[in-house]
Amino acid sequence: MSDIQLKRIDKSFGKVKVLHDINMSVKDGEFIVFVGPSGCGKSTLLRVIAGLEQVTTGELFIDDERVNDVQPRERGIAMVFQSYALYPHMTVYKNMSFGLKLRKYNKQEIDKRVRTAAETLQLTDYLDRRPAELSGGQRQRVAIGRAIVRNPKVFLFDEPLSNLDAALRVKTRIEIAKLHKKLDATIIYVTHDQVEAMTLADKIVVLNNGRVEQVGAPLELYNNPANIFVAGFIGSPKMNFLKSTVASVKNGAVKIRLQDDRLVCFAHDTPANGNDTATLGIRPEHLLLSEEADGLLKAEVDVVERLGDVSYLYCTLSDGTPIIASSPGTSLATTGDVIHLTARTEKIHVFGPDGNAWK
Amino acid sequence: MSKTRQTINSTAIHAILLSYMLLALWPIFLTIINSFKSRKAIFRDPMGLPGVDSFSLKGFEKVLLRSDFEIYFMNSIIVTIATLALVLLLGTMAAWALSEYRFKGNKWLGLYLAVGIMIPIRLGSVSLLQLIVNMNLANTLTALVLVYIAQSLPLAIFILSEFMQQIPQDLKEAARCDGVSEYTIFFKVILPLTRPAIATVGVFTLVPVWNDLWFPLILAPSDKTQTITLGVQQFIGQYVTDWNAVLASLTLAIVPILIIYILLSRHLIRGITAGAVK
Amino acid sequence: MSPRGGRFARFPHHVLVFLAPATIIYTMFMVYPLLDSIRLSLYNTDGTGAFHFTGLTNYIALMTDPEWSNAFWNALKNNFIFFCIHMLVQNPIGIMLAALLSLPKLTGRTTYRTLIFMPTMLSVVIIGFIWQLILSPLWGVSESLLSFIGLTDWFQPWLGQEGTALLTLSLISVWQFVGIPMMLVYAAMLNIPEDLTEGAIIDGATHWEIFWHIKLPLILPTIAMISILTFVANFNAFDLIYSVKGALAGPNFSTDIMGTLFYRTFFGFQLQLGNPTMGATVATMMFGVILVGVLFYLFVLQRKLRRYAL
Ligand SMILES: Nc1ncnc2c1ncn2[C@@H]1O[C@H](COP(=O)(O)OP(=O)(O)OP(=O)(O)O)[C@@H](O)[C@H]1O
Ligand SMILES: [Mg+2]
Repeated sequence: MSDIQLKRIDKSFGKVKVLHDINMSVKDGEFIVFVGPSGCGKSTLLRVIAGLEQVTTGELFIDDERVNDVQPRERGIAMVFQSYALYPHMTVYKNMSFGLKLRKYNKQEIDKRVRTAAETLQLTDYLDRRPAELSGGQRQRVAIGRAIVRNPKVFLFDEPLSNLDAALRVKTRIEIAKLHKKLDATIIYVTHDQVEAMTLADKIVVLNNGRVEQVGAPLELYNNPANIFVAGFIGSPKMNFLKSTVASVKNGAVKIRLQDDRLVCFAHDTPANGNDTATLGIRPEHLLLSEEADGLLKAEVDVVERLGDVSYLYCTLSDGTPIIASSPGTSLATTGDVIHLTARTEKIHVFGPDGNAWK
Repeated sequence: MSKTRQTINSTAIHAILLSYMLLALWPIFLTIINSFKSRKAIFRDPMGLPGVDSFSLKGFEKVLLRSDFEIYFMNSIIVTIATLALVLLLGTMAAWALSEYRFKGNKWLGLYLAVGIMIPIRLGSVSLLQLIVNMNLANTLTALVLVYIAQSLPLAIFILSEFMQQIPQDLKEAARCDGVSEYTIFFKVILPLTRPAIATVGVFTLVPVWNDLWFPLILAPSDKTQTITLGVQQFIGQYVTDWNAVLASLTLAIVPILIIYILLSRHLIRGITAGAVK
Repeated sequence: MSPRGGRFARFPHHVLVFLAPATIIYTMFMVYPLLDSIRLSLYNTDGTGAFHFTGLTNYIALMTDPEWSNAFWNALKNNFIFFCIHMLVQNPIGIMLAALLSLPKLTGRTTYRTLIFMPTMLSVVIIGFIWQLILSPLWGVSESLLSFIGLTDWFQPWLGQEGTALLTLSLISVWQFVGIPMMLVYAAMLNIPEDLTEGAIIDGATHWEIFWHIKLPLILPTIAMISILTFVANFNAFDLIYSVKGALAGPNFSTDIMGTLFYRTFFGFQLQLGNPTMGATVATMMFGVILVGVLFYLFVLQRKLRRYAL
């Protein structure tokens, strides 16, 4: 059992408030990912959970025990830092056993745990080396090993992959996913890479400016973003946003006017007013090439990025709005073409003037 | 519970630091306050601050009357400033040449100049005195300046060389492409850029020179060339029993340094810590 | 012609101009005097002031002739005591203060640092006199301070007693220079990334364990550097003893160290005339001691203690 509950957490550094009213709960064995742009407070939130920072107000529970004033070492957590924070003067073995030694485990137990962890992480051959003599990926694994040996209730990872090159990052990502299955541990993982977030998480917490924007399973965030921020943050390439106005509201059916006076129609129960501004959001992968008659949007192609299986068309609408459409790799569109795009209504997101989703 | 333990810990830390701070400041403070008291008050109530009835400037009057304090002070200033200026100029020139130009023996010359960081110049005093006498420089400030330059150069060159290596290559290259002479590059481009290192070099040069007793004592002990450190030492030697005068002379020697230190402490400490990194 | 031209090309005139002034002054006023002193130590003067080469006679006299050797061995022994007290008191206190100053989230660290460092800035002469006054039985400040903490009878004129004078002077010097190890260690500790200490906190280490297992091993090279700096400064010390106890380093030479012995030998005192060649011999011995220390540092300590990339 290792539930974590955050209740109304605020955190300020001096006068600057960096976390606002954070509420969430993490269930035992869950893999939670915090995402958000740089400086939004992900690390701070993680450090609050670790106990490296005191909360300003609010309460933090681990296993129903209030841990606001509990020292990090008594919280039953382990943390993997972005910089790995390996002790440069100790061998891999010592790095991994340091925490156990401080807790006065006996020698055999320490040795058993270190060797098991080393086996899992394929570090057995490197136990006598110092961190300086390891590659980036190996150091990264030592950092994870240091966390594993202690059998913590909760693992905290702060951007553990950001110092690795692209190929290694993918590989390690998969290893971390396997590790989670194997250890069956609660993991809280910080990243600003949304691919990492989507692939690893059971549940994603999107943070922005110190606030939680949305919490949900990866596909839930992808399919039903709660607001423009989440919609823009999750998904790659980014969702296209089109400024538009509400044409009419009748019997819960809202009509929205797009460029060239084309209308999109959908059911919506909160009363929107005529002439309200609204934002339509359509993911590039949901835009389809169509005939002029069926087209929702008319655009001129600026650049075509051919990735093989798929081509991204970077286009401009007649009012100057840039949009991206993805088309099959076989698409023949080239720079200068005028194309017509459409999308299935259920794939179109609509956001009200306050940025929150209507649909 | 952990919370209380944490606060106790930090109270203990502040208590230790605070008491050590008091231990460091108390003797200085005691000297300064007592220099403003009458002789009777100095002995009756050493710890008390000077009050209306105990206040007295007699000590200062005596010091200024019976010794050439202003002269000592000026001598110290002249020697220190001259040394500092020349060390900075010559040190920068040498550091620049060592770090910028590849020539035969570059490494050896660097090593040769670095030896002086660890070996104190005092040990050559016997021959140094002979040399100064032969050059007719005995009892001159010039002698002091020359010796202090030699003493300060090794560390200055070391620090400045490290600093030079951080000057971007592009800057020099750009100037060279414009066909500017090496001298112009040095005086117009490099010298101004070393300004941040001045604080560091300054600390390591200024303080030992200002505080030195040895060389003023053996090279320039005459009345007209005494520096403040030697002057105070001699003065106190003569007037040991005159507590007012002794305390006043000490205060006169302390206060200027304290003022400079408080004003510049930020830079000085940054200099020390930056210089210490390597 | 051509090899000359070749060398000249490799040594362009502006390099010469940049290097010459510093090198000349340094050579003339530092290297030459040092070497010449060593040469002089192999000579003797007679009544007329003429120098005669005498080989190692001076050294033999210094180490075996009771006229010199008593003073020499006494000064050397005292100097080692002086150094040991610095190593045992000054450096541990400096390291401890630095460790406290570098604790995370400490308020007022700049103020502490600035003020604790203050005595280091002042002249040794001034510090010597101040403590002489404070410890003087005439004034009675220390006595009343001691009685304040209940140690009335404890006070003694420490500076005046043969048994305690050297220890007292060493402690005065420690008091003044504690700022230097403090600053150097503090700077080294600032270089240790915060992640490392936080990682250790998560691993379950207390502040003390972090200091002992993480910070201390990482600053060993700095500690070695402080030690050699202390060594050189101590074996070169003079000002403090001279201003508090005079050239005679009383009582009964109990505070005599190499620096004061050098001064007395060179310039003479009371009945004894100054003896430049013997002075040069003492200086060369000091040079030897310091050189051994520096070489030990460079070739043993610095090689053994690796600096870890942080
Ligand atoms: N110790 C501190 N003192 C003051 N402000 C801080 C401190 N630590 C973080 N902040 C501020 O809090 C905000 C959140 O920082 P945090 O490190 O949590 O961001 P992050 O989401 O982890 O960003 P990144 O993705 O760049 O790591 C930032 O604006 C930062 O400037
Ligand atoms: Mg971060």
